[in-house]
Amino acid sequence: MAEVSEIEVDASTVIKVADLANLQLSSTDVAYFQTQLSRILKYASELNQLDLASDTKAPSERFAFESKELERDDHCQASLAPELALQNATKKEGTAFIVPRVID
Amino acid sequence: MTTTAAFHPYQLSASEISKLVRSGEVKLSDLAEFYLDRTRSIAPRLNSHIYFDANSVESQISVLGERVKAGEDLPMAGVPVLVKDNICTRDMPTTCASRMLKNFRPTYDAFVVERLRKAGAIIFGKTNLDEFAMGSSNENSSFGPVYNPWDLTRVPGGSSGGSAAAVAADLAPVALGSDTGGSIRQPAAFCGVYGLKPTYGAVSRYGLISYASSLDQIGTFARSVIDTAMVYDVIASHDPRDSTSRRGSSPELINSLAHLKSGLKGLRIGIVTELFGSGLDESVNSSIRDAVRVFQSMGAEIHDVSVPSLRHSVSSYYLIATAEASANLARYDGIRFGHRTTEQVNQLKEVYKYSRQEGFGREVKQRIMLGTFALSSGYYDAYYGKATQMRRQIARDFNLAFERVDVLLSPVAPTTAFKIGEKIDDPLTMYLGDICTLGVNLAGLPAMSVPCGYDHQNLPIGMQLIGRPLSEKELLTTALAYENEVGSSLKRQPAL
Repeated sequence: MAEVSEIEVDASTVIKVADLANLQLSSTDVAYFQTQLSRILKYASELNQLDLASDTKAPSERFAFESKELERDDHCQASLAPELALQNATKKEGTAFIVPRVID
Repeated sequence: MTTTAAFHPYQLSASEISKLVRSGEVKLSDLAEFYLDRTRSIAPRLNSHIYFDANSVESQISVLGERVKAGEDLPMAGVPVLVKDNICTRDMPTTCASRMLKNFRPTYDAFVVERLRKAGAIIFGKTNLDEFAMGSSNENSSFGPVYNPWDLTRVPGGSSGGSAAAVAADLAPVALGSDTGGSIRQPAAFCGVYGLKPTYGAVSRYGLISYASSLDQIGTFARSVIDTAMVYDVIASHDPRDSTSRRGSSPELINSLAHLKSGLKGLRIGIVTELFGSGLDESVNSSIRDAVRVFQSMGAEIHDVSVPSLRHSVSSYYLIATAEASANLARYDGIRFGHRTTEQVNQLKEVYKYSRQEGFGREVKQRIMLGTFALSSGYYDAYYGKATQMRRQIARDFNLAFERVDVLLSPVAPTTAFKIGEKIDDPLTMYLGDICTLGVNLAGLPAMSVPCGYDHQNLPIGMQLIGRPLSEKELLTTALAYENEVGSSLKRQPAL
């Protein structure tokens, strides 16, 4: 685990994260996000000052935000018709989405 | 009431409208004409609507007229409802206020929209919001900001700012919003209307475009508690298409509220001490203290209660919500739907990157980046892991509080509506303003914003009532008792 108290969000970190997130940033964006992410992460690092290490969830512990009824019977249902599935595509042909060549 | 041009439903409640339509005292066409005219004249000034089409309204009322004649059971017959534009509608665009979904037409209705149509409601339009529901001021919309009807130089709150502003201005008696960290309650408070964020799982999220799935919840805006109950009764029902939807029958709160006894004897209300700290406007503090005295005079017991971990809710929320957002919004790649770049790019990855760069606004990109960082190798345990541990601590602290009291009470926001542009360039300050509402979403609890006063600039103030899981009935009963007690003394309308 990284030592977060020493975290510096530099430009290369912003560019790396943007690439992971599939975002093409301008140099202005990089500078903006470097400043904002640094401020927010510095603030959020307060959680690392707290002793939460011993906080493990008891097996019986379940809160309102945790789903209880995830399982259901498996039934076949109608799926989206191809023309509807393609309705919002910018580029399509027949029953296919058009994308740039993936394999050279 | 006769069906003449004199018909004027301004400020009529949803319950009254439905009754008049069912009894035939009001023609659907007269009702629609009133709201169409009002929307044409006021909505552009507030920028509250993203989509509004008179033809759609007219075709809905023509079908509805036949259903009314046939004597169908229509609890919301003819009630105009506005829907936040991150909730799917099969016959209207659903944009999430984003360039990414500018031309998106859903292929189906959200569960809540299905339920409203079945109940006889008219879907009157789609309302503006912060892009993908990410924001607290409605300034992050690719359609421009929404203006607060009480002061057009101020924000209506966010992210459901369009719905809140429209209900306050009577462009519809009720509206739907979504609440991931306070996005119903805070705009309800800023616009002086009632806003209910139900228990997580009480209302299906099927057809709600995801921001942070473990926190998102659809809820209601209304100008009265009874109207809140009416809409909640219609939309709160089990839906197998949302795996987090709770099983159980419809709550039928409206009937139980009709038999409300006066007084609140024996009700234990806890004042959340952490949310009355420094940074709270004196006008907000004073209005809420007045409301506490009203509750006391009605027989409620008042206790100070501590929920200590709430002071860490901003950190926990903004790591968990953004982590989930980074995964949920990965689907917008320009291929199957949504904006695709027109740049001449040859690689698939470049299609993704340029489409997302052009399609998303700055705040959305920031949250995707923050969430991607929090989930990345080397930082996961330190950020996302810690945030989820804190989330459980917050839920535990709420549980402990509810051992002592039945309902918790706090401000909805530390201030009244702030000026447009005041915080938009300082995201951290904007996030810190959400301190009063975030813990409720982290714990999955129901909560409600209840209008309780005005500051010296005539800006509305809201108090927040928080309940145990699935205690919507108790929350609405408490709110209704207060509404009945203060009566018309707090009823004002924005001058538009």
